[in-house]
Parts: sequence; structure tokens; C-alpha cells
Amino acid sequence: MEEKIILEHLKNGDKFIYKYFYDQYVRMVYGVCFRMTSNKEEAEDAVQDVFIKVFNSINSFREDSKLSTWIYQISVNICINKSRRKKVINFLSLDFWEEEKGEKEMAADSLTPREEIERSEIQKIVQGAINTLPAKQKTAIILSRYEELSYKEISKIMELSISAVESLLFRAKENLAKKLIRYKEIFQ
Amino acid sequence: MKHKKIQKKFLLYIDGDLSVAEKLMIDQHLNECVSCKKHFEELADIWMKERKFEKPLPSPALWYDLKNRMEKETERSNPLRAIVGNAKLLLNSVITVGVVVFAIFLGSRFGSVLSPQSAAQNVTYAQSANIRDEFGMSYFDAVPPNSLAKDLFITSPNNKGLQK
Repeated sequence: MEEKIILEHLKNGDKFIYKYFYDQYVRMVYGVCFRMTSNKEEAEDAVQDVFIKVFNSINSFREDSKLSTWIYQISVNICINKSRRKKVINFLSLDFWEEEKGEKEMAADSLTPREEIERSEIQKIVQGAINTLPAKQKTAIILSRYEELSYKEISKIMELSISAVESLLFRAKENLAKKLIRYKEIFQ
Repeated sequence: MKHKKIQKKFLLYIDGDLSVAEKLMIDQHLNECVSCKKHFEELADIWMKERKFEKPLPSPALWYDLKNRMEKETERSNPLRAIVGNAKLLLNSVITVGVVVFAIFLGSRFGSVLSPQSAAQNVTYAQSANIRDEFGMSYFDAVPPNSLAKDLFITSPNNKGLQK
């Protein structure tokens, strides 16, 4: 079904289209949410928030960008807000003070020779390093690396200029390289 | 210091984000520095492998969770449904209170039938009192003044015991 037809039905409030729309976009939304939150439950909660937001505010979509860009924008904003709220809650509940410890624990888990590093451990290392990036760098790297979006699309989603996105990605990769090399040094 | 600066650019080098001049500079350094080359190879291995992993998938039940949540939110946001919901709750409460009141009424109206002083029981006690009187046994009764037995004797029609 074409995007225009889906949009028309959504704007008319035709509920039969919801499941179809969900099936079309759930992998995309979940992919971003999972990378942003690094947690299955939180990602699924965020996915629900995203679809509810999309269904409720579809009439505010001006169609000057692709529907997927708008959905990405909502997904990223919801995940960033959730992560901010989580930080505040963790800070108040003293979990904040154990964050560093958690990071060390994660590092200790992957203390295996390179030949024995399994897929999950590689994911843990890379995702762990991405999680330590500032929010904007993290968002840019997730959209670029895992969603394979162009600088232009990322700039629209993040409401930044293309050069700002380039700069964010550049700094993100520099920071990641430093962190990943440090991890390797610690483990060997 | 130079090593750190070079190492910082490794991911940019792998992803092809560097200028030709920067690439050449890194190539040259990697040819000269064994340690940096080792770091580079390890980093490239992790970075390339991780990208190829398939995307995470949501749980199949997620749609039903979403559907339920949307239905609940619609109910909450629809004033008519909210009123109907509240009315149902009110009706349930009224019915419960009504049943309790009716039960109390039934108890007070017909409860005496089931009490110990019911007619049938009175007859039984009266009969037993008559038998006791016949044999003059009631004179030997030691019925304490506040006991239930005292009341029973008083209510029996032919009671001529000590209490009377």
C-alpha cells in the first residue's frame, strides 16, 4: 500500500489501518528504540509510546518530509526523553552512583581472548561504548550506522544542519575509537 | 601523544570518512607502529562484525500490548464511555448494598423461626418439663439463676420447678 493511501486512512481515523501501519514500521521503530535504550522492555515501552503518538498526532504531520523521517523523529525524541527521566530517577534512587560499577562489570564480563569473543560480547562492547556518548552523538551514530540514513535525513530528524551532523558523527567516531581501544587495552 | 591522535581516527578511517591526506598519514603510521597496527586490526574486526549483526526484533505480543493500551487510553479520553463506566460501578455498588439490606430484613423478619426459642423447641422443652414434673424431678434441679436453662424452664407452660 502506498504511503499516501496509508496516510489518508490514518488521518481519517480508520482503525483497520493501524495493524498494517504497525507491521510496516515496527521493525524500524524498534531498531532505533532498542539501540537508544539498550533494553528490551524499555524499547518495547518506547515503541508503544511512538505508535500512540503517531496515531494521535497524525494530523499534525505536514507531509513536507517522508513519513519515515517523521516517525524517526518521534522515536528519537521519545527515547531521549525516557533516558533523561531515567537518569533523574536513577540519580534520586542512588542507582546513579552504581553506574560506573555497572560499566566495569560489563567490561569484566567480556574478559575473553579475541578468538573467543562471541557475538553478544562484541555487541555488548560496542553498544556499551555507544551508550557512553553524549545524547546527540549517540543519536547520530545510531541513525547513521544502524539505520543507514543519509546525513540529510539525519539532519531532518535531528533538526540540525548537515554540517552539524557531520561534525557530530566525526566526534562520535573519535570518542568511540578511544573508548573501544581503551576497552581492548583493559582486557588484554 | 601521536599514537593517541592516530588511534582516534581509526573508525573514521574504517568508515571512509577521512580525507586522502589523513588516510595516507594513518597508512604511514600503521606501517611503522606495530602496536597501533594491532589496535587497528582489532578495532576494525569488532566494528565491521558488529555492523553485520541482524537487527533486534520486537516480541510478537507487542502489537496486542499496544492495542490494549490504546483501547484503555480511548476509554479514558472518551467522556461518554467514562460516564457509562462510572454508572456501571455505581450500579454494582447499589446492587451489593441492596442485597445486604434485603438479607438483614429477611433475618430480622424470619430469623425467630431458627432461634432456640422457636415453637418447636418450646414444645420439646415443655414435654421434657412435663416428664420431669411427673416424676417430681424438678425439685432436685440446681439451675443457676442466670443460666440459659432457667429461661427454658420459665418459658415451658407446665414448669413447676424451683425457679418458678
